[in-house]
Amino acid sequence: MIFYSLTSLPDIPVFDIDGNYSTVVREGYTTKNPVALAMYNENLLQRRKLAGNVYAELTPIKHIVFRSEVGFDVSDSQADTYKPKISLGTFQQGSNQISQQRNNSVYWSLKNYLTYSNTFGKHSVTAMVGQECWESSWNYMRVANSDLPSDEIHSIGLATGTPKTGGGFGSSAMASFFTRETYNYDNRYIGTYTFRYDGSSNFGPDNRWAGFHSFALAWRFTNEAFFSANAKEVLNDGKLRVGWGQTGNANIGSGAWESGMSKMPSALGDSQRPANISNTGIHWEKQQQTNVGLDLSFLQNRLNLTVDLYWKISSDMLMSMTLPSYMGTQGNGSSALAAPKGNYGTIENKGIEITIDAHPVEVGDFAWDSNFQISFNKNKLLALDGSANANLPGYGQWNDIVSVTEIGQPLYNFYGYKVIGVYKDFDDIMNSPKAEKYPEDGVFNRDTTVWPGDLKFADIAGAFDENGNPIPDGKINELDRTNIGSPLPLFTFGWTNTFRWKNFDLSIFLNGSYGNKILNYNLMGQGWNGLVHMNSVWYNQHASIADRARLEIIDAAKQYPAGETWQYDVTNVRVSNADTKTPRPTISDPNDNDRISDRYVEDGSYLRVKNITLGYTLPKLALQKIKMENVRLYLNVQNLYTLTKYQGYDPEVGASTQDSSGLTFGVDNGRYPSPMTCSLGVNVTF
Amino acid sequence: MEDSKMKKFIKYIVTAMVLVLVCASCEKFLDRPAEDSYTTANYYQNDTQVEQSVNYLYNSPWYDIIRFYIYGSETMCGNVFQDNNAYATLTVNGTDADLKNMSYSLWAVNAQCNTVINNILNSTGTASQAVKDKAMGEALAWKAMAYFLLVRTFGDVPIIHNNTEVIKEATYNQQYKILKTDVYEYIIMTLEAAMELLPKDPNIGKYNRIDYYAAEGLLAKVYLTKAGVSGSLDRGDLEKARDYALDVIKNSGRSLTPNYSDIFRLQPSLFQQTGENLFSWQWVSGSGIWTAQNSIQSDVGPLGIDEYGATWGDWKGPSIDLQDAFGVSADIEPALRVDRDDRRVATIMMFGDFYPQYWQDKGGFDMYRFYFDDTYYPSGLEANGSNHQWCCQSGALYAKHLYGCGSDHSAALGVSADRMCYQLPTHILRLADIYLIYAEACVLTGDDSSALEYVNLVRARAHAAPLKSCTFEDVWKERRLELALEGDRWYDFVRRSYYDVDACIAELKAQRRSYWDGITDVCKNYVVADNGEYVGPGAHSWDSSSIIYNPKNDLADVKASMFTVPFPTEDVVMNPNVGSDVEAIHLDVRETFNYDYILLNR
Repeated sequence: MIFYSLTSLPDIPVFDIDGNYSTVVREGYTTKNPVALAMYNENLLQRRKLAGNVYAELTPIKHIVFRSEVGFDVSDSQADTYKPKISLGTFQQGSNQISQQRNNSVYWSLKNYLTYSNTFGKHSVTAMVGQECWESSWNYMRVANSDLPSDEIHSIGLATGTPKTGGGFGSSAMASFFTRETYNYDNRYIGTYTFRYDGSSNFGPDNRWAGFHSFALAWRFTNEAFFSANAKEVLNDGKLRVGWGQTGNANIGSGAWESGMSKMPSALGDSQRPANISNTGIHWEKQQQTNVGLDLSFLQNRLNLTVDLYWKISSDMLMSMTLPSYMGTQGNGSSALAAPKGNYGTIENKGIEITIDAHPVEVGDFAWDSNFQISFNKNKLLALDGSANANLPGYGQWNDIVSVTEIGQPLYNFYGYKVIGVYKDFDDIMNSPKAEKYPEDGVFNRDTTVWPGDLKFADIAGAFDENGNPIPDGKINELDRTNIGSPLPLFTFGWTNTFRWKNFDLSIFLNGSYGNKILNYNLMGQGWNGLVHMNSVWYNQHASIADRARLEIIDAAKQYPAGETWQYDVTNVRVSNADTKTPRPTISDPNDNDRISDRYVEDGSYLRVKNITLGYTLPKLALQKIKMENVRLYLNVQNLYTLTKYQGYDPEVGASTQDSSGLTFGVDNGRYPSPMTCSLGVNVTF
Repeated sequence: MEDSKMKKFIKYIVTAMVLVLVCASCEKFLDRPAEDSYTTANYYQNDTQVEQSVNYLYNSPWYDIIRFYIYGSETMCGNVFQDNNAYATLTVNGTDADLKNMSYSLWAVNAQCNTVINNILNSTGTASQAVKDKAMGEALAWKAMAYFLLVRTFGDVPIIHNNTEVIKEATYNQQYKILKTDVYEYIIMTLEAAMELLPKDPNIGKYNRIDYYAAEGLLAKVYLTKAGVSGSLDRGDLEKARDYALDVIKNSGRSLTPNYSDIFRLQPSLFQQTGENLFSWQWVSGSGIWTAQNSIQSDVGPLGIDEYGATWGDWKGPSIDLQDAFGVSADIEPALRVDRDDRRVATIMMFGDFYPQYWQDKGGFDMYRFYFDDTYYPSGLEANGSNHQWCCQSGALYAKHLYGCGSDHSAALGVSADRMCYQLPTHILRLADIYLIYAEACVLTGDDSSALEYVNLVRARAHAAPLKSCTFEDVWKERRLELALEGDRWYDFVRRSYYDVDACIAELKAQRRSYWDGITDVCKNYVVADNGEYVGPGAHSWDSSSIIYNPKNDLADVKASMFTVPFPTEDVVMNPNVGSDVEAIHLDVRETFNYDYILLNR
């Protein structure tokens, strides 16, 4: 929808003079009116949910507490869609369509703990054993049909087409046993040991269970004797923490250990196709983390500082095997043979997180609180199954690789060609590395071969030196693709300031990110309708194409035989704005200027005024008369302003929703931008 | 109850719960295999399941190829006009979406076939060997078809003999491209295995599946193509092509469908009676499952031919060069047009043509009224005067691959069509093709009279005048007329380019691949009165002088390398061995691979 809006021609109004959705047909073509598109089709989702938790706690013997907890969550949802008949220029939908889907799910959990705790002088200990399990089951049913007699009544019972039905059910479960022991000496030395043994139904019979240990030690040095009372005036609390621990991850969905079948009929009758290649050995992913932390509180908690350093290795990572397309795993999900899921990679994360919480001013009626957090994280792919050059590709719209994670490199680096500039003239083409569409026979053609004004890409690899490092080979080809930027920030931060004066309060939350790149996929589009492709008069274009390579004649006096012009003479054209990095307009695009390159990669750093709230609390005295406890009026503004160089709608892009493997990050593919929201509210307590 | 008793009671209850949950077999609690669908362990159990297990090889994995096949390749060979298009200029890149989808599709077919065969071999049920053989034979035949398309499209390609083994051995990132000569040998050995497994009995009137003779027909075509791969024609291969083709013609029990246009209709009975279809994609509608259905009309049909709002084919149409080949031209007044045979109308839709099989609820489909009569819409669509003002500038539309509108579909099959979803089968190897393969093999081995006989049989079915003599050029041209827009012509060029690339280059350069300026206005004036109302032909006189051929898309430059389409480049990220610069390797395929694991385990 966002993409439709971006590519709609700017001179077409939303409504026509009669107030109906307008549309303009040019040479038989219409860009669908994006507002009409959003309003016509109906998508309703209703959810009902009942969740609860009960527990019992008893102490059968002194120092022993037994706790039992039962939780449940019952939910159902109903999704209805309706597509009416539409007649908007060439956007014609002569048949209406209706679908209904019902989902039900039931979840319950049971936890039992037995805890022993006791204190012997300065020693205090706790020991706990416990058990936990949950089960989640679901089912759904879907019906769709078409050709209702009119668009007034949206009832599937009225449809006259061939009904289509679908449905399914399933369940998953997990069971765990665990124990935790803590020891505390004089509130100075604290130690904890935890062990858990987890079983998941996501894995096959031999691999369901795995055990995980963790240790933690803390030293509250401000409680030591050597720490004087005077020193405590300044540093009132200080704690050093060290920890090492394992956790597991079973989050891969059920059924990867079996080879399931999916229904796929043909005109020959019913059929079942293998939905995936099974991997009976799939097992728990292990994460191992070491961390060091420091908590400091100064001046009676007026200033609190927390610093955490962590180093985390995720091994046996759960993911789909990445296979080359000749293994038959690409293309439409229902026609390809899905790759096996398993434990294929190892990733390292290192980072530091700093939090400063301060209460700098508290004078009379005025108070100022400030909370600042900043996080630095670095990750790296340490190992991956397959060969030495195995890597994790991330996909854009369909199957185009937009990012590649190589072994030893950070995750999700954008992957493509580097643009040096444009070929300024014939000599430049001849003296540069040869483009793919360089004509070996010397016959240039502006529609079928490389031409002045086409993008000149960097020649990076192709041959190898004696050390096996890639060196340029004088040719531009797929080997010249390289890392063209990281979507991961150097750091992210958030800063909240709260001011209170008498009955007024004002809170301002800023957040931001620095050093990350965004792949502006809207510029690139789906190959034929990108915002900078200059290959169609029916699509709106981005303002940056004003800087496109403009071709001009070199020798105006040169004579041509009838039917030939200088525009087709490679030796007589040059680019007038030779410094540009935007190519010439060409519909056939022989040089593939539209390919993924750093042309679409932009700086995604931003600083955003995320939230401002101004509140006023009515005086208590006035309220008592009308029997109210508390009344607060407030004005809230979200996403007021964003400071960024990014040209798209919203730099807060995050993980890609298009790529189900979750290996794409920072790709702006028509993502809905965060809206600016203003709200006025009243909080009343009786 | 007293407080202490209450406590005791709760204690017992909780203890009991714990004991039950801990002891009552956690394993059972965690054992949750799929319950709402089959797995390979409980499918392939009986004859019905094994027979059905290959049904989907006739549609779903082929879905992603259709755009390349039906109009990409047809544009390259000059049968279809597209303005300013990389297929039209023969400059398609390895990153092109239709090209990549074609590649994905063919590799998916190979992977699916290999996997189904493994699953059938591993099955433990009661299915009979005969049914297993038949199913595995069909899978091998489809695999051969996929490889035949791969080798003719890309030239050298990797051979993935058994996907499960390659994954097990973790060699998936170390595959090399194999020389195309070896790939042809691999296809031949695959078809030989398929023919050993497939049933031979002609089952008259029930030709819906691939049988022995369908595989043999494909083998004939493979030999004919392979004959020139060394650069000059190999007589032994030509003779094999000839003999296999003749065996299909004589002994398969199949015959040409009497009425040419019936081959391209919704009702299977029209062509399955005679068995003209050897290999067909057997799409299905109404399942609600994507890739089960045909959606070609959306890509090649004109906007508004069906009521689902999803056709966008006006931008491409049968080229002026193809019209020339049929002896017709869109710049001539439709009333004066003379067709030489039945195939033109069944292939190319032009102004003045009428199709009784489409829009039956309106009494048939009239292209004139469709474009210029505001009152002429299929039921469900309202007239809004803006639907059709512009048609493909070659003055023609695809007539093959259309099914019409929703009511045509329901009337023919009793099942509704849907948005991008219909059940029209797509034939990719037909008996008429085998006749022409036989004729081509004959003419290339010096037997002109047998060639003449079979070319004339194909012509006679279409009510075309018989030829008096037959040369290679006659067969070459007949193939184009018979199989135009069916995805075959580009591969004729590929076959010929192996041993006579100059002729291919010369023909492509001589083609009229571009468009008419002014054609829409002349066509419109011819049927629309001054007040804007549609009155039919003769509203104004036909002004052919306002229709001018614009040669802008004609090919000035064709290189021999253009007969090989670039292999998609994305896999290079994982496997540099498949890069465009890496030489393919020779492999003794019969030494390296075999189908003994299928054939000897029976």
